Amino acid sequence: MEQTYTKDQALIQHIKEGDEASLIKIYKEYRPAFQQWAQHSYRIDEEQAADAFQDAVVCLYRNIVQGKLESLSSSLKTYLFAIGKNIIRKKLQQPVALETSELEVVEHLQADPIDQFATNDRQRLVARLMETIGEPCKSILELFYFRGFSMEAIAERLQYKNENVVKTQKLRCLTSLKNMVRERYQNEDFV
Amino acid sequence: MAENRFNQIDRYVSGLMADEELVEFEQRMRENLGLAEGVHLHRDILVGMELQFMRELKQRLILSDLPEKKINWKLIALIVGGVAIAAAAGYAVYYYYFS
Repeated sequence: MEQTYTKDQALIQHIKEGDEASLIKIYKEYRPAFQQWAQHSYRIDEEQAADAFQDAVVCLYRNIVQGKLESLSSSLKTYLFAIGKNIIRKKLQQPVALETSELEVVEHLQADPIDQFATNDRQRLVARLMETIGEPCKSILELFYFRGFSMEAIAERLQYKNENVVKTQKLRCLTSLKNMVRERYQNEDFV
Repeated sequence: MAENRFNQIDRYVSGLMADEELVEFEQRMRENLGLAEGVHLHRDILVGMELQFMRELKQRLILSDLPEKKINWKLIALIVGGVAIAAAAGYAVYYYYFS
């Protein structure tokens, strides 16, 4: 038990430091068991179970990098399964009884299906524009807003002279994105 | 000036403002509809970006399920061997008939 806790904590730390391979390791380790359990418990097909688990792993990632998951009160497996269960419940729009330990996990953490994340057209438009924004904007915005890197860490990773250069570039990228959104809205072709 | 306003909006949306500054900023938002819209747009941009990054991460998870393509050395050896034999045979025929 102690060994599992230490292993799980180490994985969380690696993910926090930007190691995506650790996240993929978790995904591969628990996916078969989750799929089997979800298909059996909720009578969903293999694809639905896989989809829910992928969403759960993405939620786990966000919770780690946003500092919502510093230390575990249960095993990583229990944590992931609780998020996955919550996601299935939301996808199926069915109430599912969560156990007390699971309630603790999902109550204060992000556990939404990805396809229900955006709440308006403008947010969905921005997501589409991100596919076309190009480099270095994409990397800078992803590292800062999604992966929680500091300006200094971004400068080091992307080989910028210093963090001020990154700050200026980030400002340019966001301004450009805002202009793209405004332009689309003026043309009214965003739907 | 524009940068200052941008940074203020960014800090507000990211929840990084101190109490006093937060109260003052929200008051300005109530009085200035342009600023309020700027905040809404900024928030939508952050959510939209995050949505796309989440989708991309999910895609990478899906790709990690695919079996890794291994180089088929046996097939490469057979092709190289076949080409070498054909070249040697061609050279032998050429040598036999034309020299």
